[in-house]
Parts: sequence; structure tokens; C-alpha cells
Amino acid sequence: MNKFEEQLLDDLMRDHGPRLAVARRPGPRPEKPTWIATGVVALAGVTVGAVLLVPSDSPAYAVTDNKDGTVTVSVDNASAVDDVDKQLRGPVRVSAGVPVHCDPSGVVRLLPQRESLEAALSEVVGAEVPTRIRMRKNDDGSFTLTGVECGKK
Amino acid sequence: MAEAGQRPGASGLAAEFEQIYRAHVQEVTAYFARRTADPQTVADLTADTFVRAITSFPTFDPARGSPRGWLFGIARRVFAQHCERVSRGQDVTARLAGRRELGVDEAAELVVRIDAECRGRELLDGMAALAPADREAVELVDIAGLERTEAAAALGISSGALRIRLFRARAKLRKIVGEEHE
Repeated sequence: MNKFEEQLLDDLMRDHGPRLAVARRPGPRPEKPTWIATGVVALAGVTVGAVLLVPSDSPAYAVTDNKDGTVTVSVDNASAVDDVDKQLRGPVRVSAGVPVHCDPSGVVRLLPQRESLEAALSEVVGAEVPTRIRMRKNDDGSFTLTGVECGKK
Repeated sequence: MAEAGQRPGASGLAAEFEQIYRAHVQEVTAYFARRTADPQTVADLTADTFVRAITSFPTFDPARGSPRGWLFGIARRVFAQHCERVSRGQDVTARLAGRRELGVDEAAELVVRIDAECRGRELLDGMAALAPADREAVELVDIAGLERTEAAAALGISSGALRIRLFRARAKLRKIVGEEHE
């Protein structure tokens, strides 16, 4: 360490060391819900419409145009979300309150507002978890996220 | 018993913190040295990071992530707030409000550290075409050398989201490099 780093350590220990020496960490907190780590199993859902599978050399996702004007996207894993963004050719808006069915116990979580589909999914979907994403197509070419289900393709 | 290099008498969480400090202070200093070439700013931001770290250390749970990921998470928040202060013209005021000025020797040594990060700064500048979030992911993993789990913890995102950012960033960088060679 250089002089600055040594001096900073001295200052830190002088000001905070005595308190820290007798401090104790709080007891173990409850574990994260299992669904965050594993993201498996989800509630049943129904999707209608024709499935437009992407070419077989990119099997990580599929986009379904539904008759009611909505779009369902199935991804094999979270890494495919970037490809989905390109396929949709329009921004995906994530408003607060979108229901997420990713809890094996059946608890439905509501997403907070997020700036992108990636940001929203990063909080709820594991890297290797197949996920069904529902969106509404807007007149201006954008999409609005309406629901997420883990464990569904 | 105190670890090698550790001050005698350090005990409990103080000893643990000191060990973490010694292991990572140079990486944190380098993180800021890649962002600014001003020794006093590097010193202030490094000090801010470790003051926050030692203040909140009793709440840090090693079972939930590495100290390095935790420290870099604090460092990036410190830098973000620094940028906000600068954009509001409040940085000078903050510095005058009680920061310790560097001695000549300390500044000289930090200049050496800053020079050592010159290549890192160039790499960051070269990634200007990337989205800030993607650039930060590449920096933490490919330049700072964090494990992916550490970088994800520092950025406050899942490993899956980090992988997306890295994939996207590297694809774009490959494309840029390819275009430059055409």
C-alpha cells in the first residue's frame, strides 16, 4: 500500500476501529425465496395464436402474435432477451404493477416500473429458466409488458 | 492473532475489515484512477468508499457475496454521486467542507497509480460506443478482473442480466473492431 492508503487505514481505524472491534453482525436473515435462485415451476397459463418460431439455428426464443393484438414471447433463458428486443423492432415499456408468476408457491409478484425489458427480467428470471413474456402491441410500434411466467415456454 | 501486515490489537470485525481493506484498496483506487486523472479526486472517492464501507460493515454478510463485489458496489455509487455533484457544481464546496488534502508524497504516489491505469482509461474511452451499463459490465469483468458473480453483485443485477450485458457489449465491440479492419 502507498502512503495515502496507509494513512486512510489509520484514519478509518482511529475513527471507527473501537466501535467495530466490539460490534457484532446481526443474526442470519431469512433466505431469499427459493424462486429467485431457481426460478422453476410456475402457474398454468393459456396462450392462443399462431407460433412464429425463429430459425432453428437460433432456438432461444419464439414470438407469438395473438389474435387479440397481444404478443407472447417465449425465451429459453434470460440471455435471449437481447435477441427478443431486436425481433420486436420496438421498445418495450415496463409500467409498475406487471404481475410476475415465478414463485413456486404461487405468490404473484408485481414489478416496479423499469426502463427496459432486460432490467425488469433481470430481477425475476434466472439465467437458464424458460420464461413466457406477455406484451401488448401499441399503436406507435412500442410494446407494453403485461405479464411474466417462469417455467413456461 | 493478527494477520501479516495487520496492526497489533485489531480484533473482531475491525480485524476483518482491515484484512479486506488491505486486500482490495488498490483495486478500488485503480477503479477511480481509471475515471479521473486528478489525484485529490481519486483520494477523496477512495476515502468516501471506505468510510461508507467501514460504517456499514456490521451489516455486510459474507455469506451473501464477496467483499470485493460489495466494495465495488459502494465504489460505483460513490462515483455516481460524485458525478451528480460535479454536474451541479457542488464538488468544490464538498471538498472545502472537510476533506483531508493530500500531502506532496501521497499525491506523487497516487500519480504513479493513476499513470498505471492510463491503459485502462484508454480502454474505457474506446468503449464509448457502448451503453453505460454495458461498458460498466465489461470494465468490472474484463479490466478490473472481478468474477462474474462479484460484478453482478456490484452492479446490483442478476448473473443472467450481467451475462446479457457482457454478450451484447462484446458483440458490439467485435462489430466495431471488424468495421475498423474492413
